[in-house]
Amino acid sequence: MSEATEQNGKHFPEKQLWGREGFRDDPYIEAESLEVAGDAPAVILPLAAWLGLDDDVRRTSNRRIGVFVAPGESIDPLLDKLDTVPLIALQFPAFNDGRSYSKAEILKGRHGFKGELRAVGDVLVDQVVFMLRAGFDTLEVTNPVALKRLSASDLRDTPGYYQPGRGSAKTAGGFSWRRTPAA
Amino acid sequence: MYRYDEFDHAFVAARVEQFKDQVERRLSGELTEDQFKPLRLMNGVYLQLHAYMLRVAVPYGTLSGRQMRKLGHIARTYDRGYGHFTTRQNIQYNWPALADIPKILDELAEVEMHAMQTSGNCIRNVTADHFSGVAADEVADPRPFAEILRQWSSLHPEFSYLPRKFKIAVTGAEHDRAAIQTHDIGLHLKKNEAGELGFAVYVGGGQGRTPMVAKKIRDFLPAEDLLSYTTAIVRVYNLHGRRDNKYKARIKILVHETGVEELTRQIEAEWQALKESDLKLPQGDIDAIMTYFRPPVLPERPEGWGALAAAKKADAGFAAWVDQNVTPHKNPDYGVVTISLKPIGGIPGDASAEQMELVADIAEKYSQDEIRVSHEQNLVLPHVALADLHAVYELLLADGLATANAGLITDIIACPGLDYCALANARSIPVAQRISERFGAAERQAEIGELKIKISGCINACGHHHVGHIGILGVEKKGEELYQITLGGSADEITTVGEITGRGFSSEEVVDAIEKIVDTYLGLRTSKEENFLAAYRRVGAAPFKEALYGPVSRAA
Amino acid sequence: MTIKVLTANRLTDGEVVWYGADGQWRETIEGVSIARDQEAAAELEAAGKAAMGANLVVDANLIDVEDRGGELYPLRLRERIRISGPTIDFEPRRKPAASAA
Repeated sequence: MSEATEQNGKHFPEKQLWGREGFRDDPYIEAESLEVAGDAPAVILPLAAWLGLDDDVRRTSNRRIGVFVAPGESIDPLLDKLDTVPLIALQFPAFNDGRSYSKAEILKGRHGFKGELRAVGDVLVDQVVFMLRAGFDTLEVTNPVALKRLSASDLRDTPGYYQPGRGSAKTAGGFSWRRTPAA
Repeated sequence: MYRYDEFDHAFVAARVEQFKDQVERRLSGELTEDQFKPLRLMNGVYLQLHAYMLRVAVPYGTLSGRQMRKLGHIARTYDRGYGHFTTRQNIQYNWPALADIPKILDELAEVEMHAMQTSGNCIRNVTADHFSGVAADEVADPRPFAEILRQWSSLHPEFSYLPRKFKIAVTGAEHDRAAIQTHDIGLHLKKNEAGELGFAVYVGGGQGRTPMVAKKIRDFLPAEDLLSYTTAIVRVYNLHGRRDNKYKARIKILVHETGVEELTRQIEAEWQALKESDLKLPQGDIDAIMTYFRPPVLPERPEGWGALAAAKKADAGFAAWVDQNVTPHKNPDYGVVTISLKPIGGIPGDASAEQMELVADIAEKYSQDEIRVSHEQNLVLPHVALADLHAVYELLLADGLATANAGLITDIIACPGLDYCALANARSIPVAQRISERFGAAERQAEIGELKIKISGCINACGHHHVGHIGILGVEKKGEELYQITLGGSADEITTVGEITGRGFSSEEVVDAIEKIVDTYLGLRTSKEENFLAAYRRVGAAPFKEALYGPVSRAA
Repeated sequence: MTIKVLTANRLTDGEVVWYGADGQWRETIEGVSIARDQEAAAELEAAGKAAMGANLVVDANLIDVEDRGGELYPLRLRERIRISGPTIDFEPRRKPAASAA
């Protein structure tokens, strides 16, 4: 894996998609609308554009149409359409903007969203474990340190958690709120 | 007291290893300061004026003798022989070298302590009534619930990047000693008519630039719903709290801007979806945590009644100390001792390594191995037999720890101020020292009675000036320190924010101004039973303003 | 006129340091490098950035001082306290050891 590509003499880190099983190919492209997406088989549209699509178009399209949600945008309009969304990308404009964690909890924990939940933006290694436990399936990573540590599967996890969350298991006899990482 | 199990030990050890790695990467230059800062803040490491500062969590202010001895050892080995107990029941070290901090965290882990979440925009150390478990007026010990909240909030995946810091306080008595209405969430543990435990829930209190008294949003939340309801509150805040302006990012502003009714509706709606989730507390777990806080079996010591009376007769200094610093215990053979960290003219909240070790020894021998840190920056020995009070007093006296001023005018809260703090605009400690000296005579303090002075060196209000009966806020004006005075603040069950008297006073003038206020109070109180706050609430600000600034017509 | 000097905290222990005329960071303000014009101030600022980049110091800042008869006097109390240390008697008096004569 190359960590960066050379452009105009500056290092632009390459975007990589990572999930619990490791790095993977990303079939999606981001586009402002279906019209400008060409014939890409999988597209991520901004929330407004996605909501603007006719329900039938979404259901019958032979391409996968995911949606990008900025932290200031409400996920409420998506909640009754979750069975038609293959991917929701929740944005972290900065690592310390934590709104998308709560949205991930609501989507995966409460509404049982079955599609791919993706973290995009300022994804750093120190937050990876939080993201996975909040319910993210994949992370779009550009930060070089994060890329390096993820390649080495070095997530700096704790041996136990004090909250229920995804990717964790209850242990016999422990307090109800405690979990250990799922095997 | 709560004791770590293997789960807790492994968790803290992993965090120490993580931070060790981060410090090494910082020192080697692999991490820049910008990258390191959020990581160090998650472990309680600040950079202050003269050095790094390490803030160690003292969960709900409860310590064992062994833990206190370790705090003393750290002060002596890695710092300059002292530490500073804070208004959040924690301890701060003012001079640790960055390279030593991993070793300090290792030492803390040995005694089941850490520095996690003592800074950063996360759920901070959960605080509680410092008389928990012993106060005669208590319905139930709130600390088991503070411990459950402590565990649940540790490295919470959803709530580690909130809009701003988030503080929770719990009390179990009608008389609120934990200042719950000045916290983001305040919990008042009580029983319903059926005798079941639950909480009155307050939200949106806070000090800082925009002081607000918390609003009660629920009169009785069953104990089993503590985590689900707290999750609902913090989730609504995380999603909707302001992130555009750090001074408007606390939940108090969200409560204010959204309106308490609408916000309560959102919280309740969120809670309905969470109520029956994994967050519901099984009674067995509540009971198991409560077991850790079971009151110690206290031997009967009825001989103390007579012994105490005799010792008081024989020793006037002891008598004054008992009257001021010893409060009733649930068990009538015992008392609750407040160890004042406010010697006359001293630095509020500071304790030397030797003093910490002495308190550890006394706690082990005379107080069932328990110590508390109060938000008023004092220490508490919760279980001292009346029969042992004189021996304890003698030991404390020998090391300058027997100042008989708990709750009096010299029992001043003060933040570190510009002597240490990188955020401060003015000094706090020297003002506290001069006030303490001015009013230090025992007779004078006794005559004035209960009076809480609280001093902050900047608008962040770590010294709680908004809720001081007399509050003092240091600001910087044209390169000089200037002190604004507020009156009538209070942080108990009737919480009020103090009112600013008018123009501020220079460092030279401020102690005289305080004296004028005190003299005005002494002149207008109906009797000695009417304390400063009661008198202020009766007469309002006018007589005090006149004393400070002259008749209204001239001041206008 | 006000002149400027460069101050910071040392990375390893947080100790207050000043940038010396010899290009070394020192623990006292004596012998500090003084900027009397904008050009010199810009040079100092660059030196601060470089030292932060080299992970020698953190929080490097130019501060305003006055030359008062050869003694450098920072205009802000904050900076005067960074020179003097806390203005209070903060270090606990130690009880004389039992063996001390």
